[in-house]
Amino acid sequence: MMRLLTLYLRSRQVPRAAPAAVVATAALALVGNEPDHPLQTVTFAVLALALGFGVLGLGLGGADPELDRTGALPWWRWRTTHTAAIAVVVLAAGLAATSAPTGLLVRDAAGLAGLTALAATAFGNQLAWTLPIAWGGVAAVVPPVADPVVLVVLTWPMQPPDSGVAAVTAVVLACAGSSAYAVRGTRS
Amino acid sequence: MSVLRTELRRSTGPAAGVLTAALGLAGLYTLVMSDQSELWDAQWTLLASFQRIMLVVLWPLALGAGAWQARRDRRTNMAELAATTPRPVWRRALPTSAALAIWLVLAYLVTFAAGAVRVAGSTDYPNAGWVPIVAVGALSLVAAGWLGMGIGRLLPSAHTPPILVIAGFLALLVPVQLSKSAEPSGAALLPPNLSTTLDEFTTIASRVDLARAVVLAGLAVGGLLLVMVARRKAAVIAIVPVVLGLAVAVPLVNAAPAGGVQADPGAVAEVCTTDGGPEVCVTTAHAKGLASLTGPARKALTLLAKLPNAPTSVREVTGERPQPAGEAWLHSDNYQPGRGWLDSGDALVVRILAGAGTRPCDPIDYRTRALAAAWLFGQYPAPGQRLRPGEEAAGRDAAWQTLRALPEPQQRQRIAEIRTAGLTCHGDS
Amino acid sequence: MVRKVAATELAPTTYGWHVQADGLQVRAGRRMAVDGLDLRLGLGVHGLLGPNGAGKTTLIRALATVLRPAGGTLTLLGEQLGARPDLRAFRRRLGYLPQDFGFYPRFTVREFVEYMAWLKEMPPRDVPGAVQRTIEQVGLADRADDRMKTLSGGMLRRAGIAQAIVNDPDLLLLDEPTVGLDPTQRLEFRTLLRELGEQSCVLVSTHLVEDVAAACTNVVLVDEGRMVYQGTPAEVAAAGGADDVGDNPIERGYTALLGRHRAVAR
Repeated sequence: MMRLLTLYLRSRQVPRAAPAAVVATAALALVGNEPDHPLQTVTFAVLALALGFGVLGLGLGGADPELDRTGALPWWRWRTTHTAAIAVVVLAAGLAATSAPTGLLVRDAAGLAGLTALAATAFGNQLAWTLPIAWGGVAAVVPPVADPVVLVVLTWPMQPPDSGVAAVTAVVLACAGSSAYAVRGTRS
Repeated sequence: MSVLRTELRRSTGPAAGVLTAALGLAGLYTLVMSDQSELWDAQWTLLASFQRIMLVVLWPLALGAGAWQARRDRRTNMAELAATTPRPVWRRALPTSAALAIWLVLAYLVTFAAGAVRVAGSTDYPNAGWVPIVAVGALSLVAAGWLGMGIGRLLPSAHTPPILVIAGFLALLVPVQLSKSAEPSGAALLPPNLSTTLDEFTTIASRVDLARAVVLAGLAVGGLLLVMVARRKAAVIAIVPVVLGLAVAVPLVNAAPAGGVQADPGAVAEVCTTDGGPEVCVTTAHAKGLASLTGPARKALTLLAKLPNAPTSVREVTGERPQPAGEAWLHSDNYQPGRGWLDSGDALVVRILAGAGTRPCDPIDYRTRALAAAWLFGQYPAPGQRLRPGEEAAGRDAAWQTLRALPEPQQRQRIAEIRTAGLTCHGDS
Repeated sequence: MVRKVAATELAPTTYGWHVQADGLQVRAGRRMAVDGLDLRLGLGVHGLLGPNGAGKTTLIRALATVLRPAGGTLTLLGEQLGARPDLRAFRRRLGYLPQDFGFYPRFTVREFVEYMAWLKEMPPRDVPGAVQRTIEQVGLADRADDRMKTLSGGMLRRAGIAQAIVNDPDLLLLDEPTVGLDPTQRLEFRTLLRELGEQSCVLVSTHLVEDVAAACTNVVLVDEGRMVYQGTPAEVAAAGGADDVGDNPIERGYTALLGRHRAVAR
């Protein structure tokens, strides 16, 4: 089992990418961490999380997805675990480096992980970075408003932790993304 | 030529263009849906500048698209086969770069055209001030695309596109964040996305946009050089246009006004009546409102004649300079482009009479201004002055009673004092 | 489809051999994959045979100017590859199909072959005609406007052959061109090879000995970066006897020659 796990991780280039992703996420979150300026802290935290997922998203698919699919592994278990694992790794890096609210970080990690998995399913593992980075970036630069629901959904990563709409959006993205990825795997 | 056509259809260009246009249109129409569309549909320059604000999202994504395009040869394993062909690397890079640039510019212009449909219906002030603003915006996308291609070729890792997009967001975000504390000035004005909003009477300072264009041109050429060099060691040459651009731009931008905006002389210039009666003037941006203002304005002038040193003309102004005693001023906020004056008929007369024909001071004393208007009009509450019953209404009633209790000459003097105070205060500058 | 023949093509060549290598050494990674190879190739179809790791692909890549020789001399189409050679003139007359054929998946077959023709600096007037001719020659005329990613493995290989021959090269290098082709297509390919061999020097690296026997005028056998044997297919077949391993005469000759070479080398 350990051997299989090791080979799996190496086939997805995780030993090289994971430390780099952790360092990059933590560094970016740390740079922007200003307890006196909560908006700036959260902005940099969201960008840092998006960066972490952008880097780790490549590992959601291997070099030959068709070949992987022919294996007898219960792929849905491996894929779900992989998605959860990258969420945990990026979340940990973020929690360690920034003073942004924990609830916000947890929600954003879940939602962005779902987006990464969704992008991997829809566009392939080399483009898995597109959705989390695009949506995270857009939210980071647009001022977060509380009013029209459309804009709340658009800027969900930046909304305060108690925003119900943002939490629902994150949950929907997390579930939709990870289940689509678990069922179909990356596009070849 | 046919290679360019093939690249226009098959490269990353189409996807990048469609994404840019879709995001731009979504940005414009989200405001329409939330009823804030006057932020961009009031004037051509406002639409152009709002599009520039949206560059904060479009520019980094264009960087990523360029980096993705640059990886094509590696991703597809074509590099070896291409290396055995005689066509030089720089010549090979041109159709791909051109295709990406064309698609990005097209997407930017299509977004503008879509917004222009709405602006054409609501603006009163046709002018070409939007052309340089849109041009710099389109140039910025080309620069982002080519710079992304260059960096993507220099650093061919699969992780380059996401890292480059985040770097792009950071590069644009930092000046925006800085501008929240103070007006951006100097080098902070250089990013192509605007962080200060314009209004109908301001436009981007031409020096600042020129400086931005120079920097962007330097980035574009530098990126293109990176794509075209045959050997990695020669990549250093790409620094030259970037540095040159900065060297020219920084002095330009240091001499520019803070915030990078200047008054739009064409919009502020006056348009006046010429029929021989008492003069009524409006700003060129609101020129369509002159006809509907003339009647109520002249009625207001006859009412103001009760005061000593009565004004002899009515002007619509934005309130920047000291008000001469011979003029009655109406603030530009009383007009909404596309819809006209906020009131009409007698209610408009009352608006002109507010504060005895002066523009609002800072802080605005609504009660005194309303009282002066009601006294001059001869009716309390005057048309358009209805207030909901409450503390303010009771206060106004009491003040009105106090005023009416005074002898007639003293009432007139009181109103004259209100006018003098309005003439000499600092307005909203 | 008949094409116009330019005057330059009718002129006799000014060089003796299309490919002339003396003591050629080419590095692949850390290994010296081609180690002291002497080679003379002229007009005709030459089959390159040898065990895996013999340096066949490295040799072909060196001839295609992807790799620079580490030692020895290499003269291609009369031009010696010196210290800083001007390869552009030579590359216009080169056709190459790599073993690991990379292509742009979104391009259609026609667009891809046109693109390769442009990369080979063919005169723009000639390109549409040449592209159509080559696509028909490889039998992809009905799939010419389909995207490359929709093609099967054999069709991709044929598209690769099309791009290699679009500029009527004087030196054509094909590395494993028949991978994925069904038997009928292989027969058609052999006919194509024979046609091409009349006008140019074709070097085909392949494991399929029957193809070599049927289409090649010359066989080059290499092992561990060195030449083992060069001769006609008949001579190779004659070198083998009844007790050598193989299902047909060429295979038996191949095993015999290889065995003899290795015995000597030890």
